[in-house]
Amino acid sequence: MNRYQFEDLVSDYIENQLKSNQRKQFDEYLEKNKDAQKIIDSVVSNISDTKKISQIEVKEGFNERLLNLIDKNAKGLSQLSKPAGTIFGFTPISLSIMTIAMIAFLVSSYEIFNLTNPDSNLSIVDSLTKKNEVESDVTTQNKAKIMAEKNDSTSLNKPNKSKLDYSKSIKFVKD
Amino acid sequence: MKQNLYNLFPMSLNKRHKSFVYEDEELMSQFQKGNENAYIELVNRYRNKLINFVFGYLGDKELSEDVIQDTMLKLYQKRHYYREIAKFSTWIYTIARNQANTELRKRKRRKTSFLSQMTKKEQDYDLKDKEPDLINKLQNEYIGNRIHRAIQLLPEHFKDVIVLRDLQQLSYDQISEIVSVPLGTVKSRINRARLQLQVELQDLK
Repeated sequence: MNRYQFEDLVSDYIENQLKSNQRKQFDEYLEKNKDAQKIIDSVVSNISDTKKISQIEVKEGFNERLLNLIDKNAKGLSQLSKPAGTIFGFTPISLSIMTIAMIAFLVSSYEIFNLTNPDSNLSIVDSLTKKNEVESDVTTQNKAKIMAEKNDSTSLNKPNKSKLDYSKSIKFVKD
Repeated sequence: MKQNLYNLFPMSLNKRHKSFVYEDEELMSQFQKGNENAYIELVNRYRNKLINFVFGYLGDKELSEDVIQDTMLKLYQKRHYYREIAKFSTWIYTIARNQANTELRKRKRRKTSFLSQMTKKEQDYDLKDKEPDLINKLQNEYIGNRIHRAIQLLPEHFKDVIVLRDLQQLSYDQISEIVSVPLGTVKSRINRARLQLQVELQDLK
C-alpha cells in the first residue's frame, strides 16, 4: 500500500467499511508509518468534535414569522391573479376607452370600404356576387371573340389560301 | 399533547416507537390533502435540523434563518410537487441546499467579506448567555467556530457533503440523492474533505 491508496481508504477504515484483506494491508501500513496513525487519530478527533458542535436553534417566534410570510405571499398572489374592481382584467376606464376605440375602428373601416366600392348602395355580399357575374360575362365574351377570330377567313394572322387564289384571278384594265 | 396530536392527525400509528409518532411522509400526505397542522408539525421537526445544515454551509446565523424561512415557504407553496417515491427529508434538504446555494451566489455577487462578518456576529450571540462552566463552554465554542471556519474554506462540492455527513449525520445514500452525484463520488468527496479539514485543524490538537 502506498500513500495515495492509504489516503483513499481513510474514511472507510474509520467507518469500518474495509474488507478483511484491505484492513490487514491498512493496519500493516499504519504500523510502518507513525505519521499515518497520527492522521487517522486527528481525523477521528475532528469528526467527534464536529458531532459535538452545539446545535443552534431558530429564534423565538420563527413559526409566527413564517406564517405571516405565507399569508403575505398568499395575499400577494391572489391580488396578482385577480385585482380588485376589474372586468376581464381591465379597469373600467381602460375597458371603456378600448371599447370606444374598437367601435371607431370598425366604423371607419366600413366607411373606407364603402368609398372605394362603386356600388356603395350594395351590401358587401351583393357587390361581390355582382363582381363575379361581371367577371364571368367578360370571360364568356373573350372566349366568343377568340372563336370568331379562329373562324374568320380574313384574319391576317393566319395564312389564307383562298386569298392567294383571288390574286391570280385579278385582271388589270390595261392588260 | 400526544392526544392532541392524535386528534389533529387521525392516521396510522407507528407502534414500534410506542407513541404517536407519524412518519414525515404521512404528515406530508396530510398536508397535501389540506391539513395545515401537518405542515406546522413538519416545520417543527425540521427547522432546527435545517438551520444547522445551512449554518454549516453559510456560517451566518441570521442569513441561515432567512434561508430556512424561504425553504419552509417553498415547502408550503410547492407541496403538490412532492411525490412519496422520495424520502421527505431528502426532498426538504435538497430545497434548503438549493436555497443556500442561491444565497451563496448572491453573496458572491455582493463580494462581502463573510468570515469576518460571521466571527463578529457569532461573538454577539455567544456572549449573551454565560453559565458557571464558562471555560469549558468557551473552549467548545472556540472549537466549534474553528471547525465552522475550516468548513467554510473547503471547496463547495466538499462543503455540502461534509456538513450533511458529519454535522447532520445523514446516510451516504441520502447525501447522494440530495447532491445528485453517485454514491462513490460522495464517499470520495467526504474522504477528501476530512483529510483537508485535518490539515486545516492541525493546530487545534
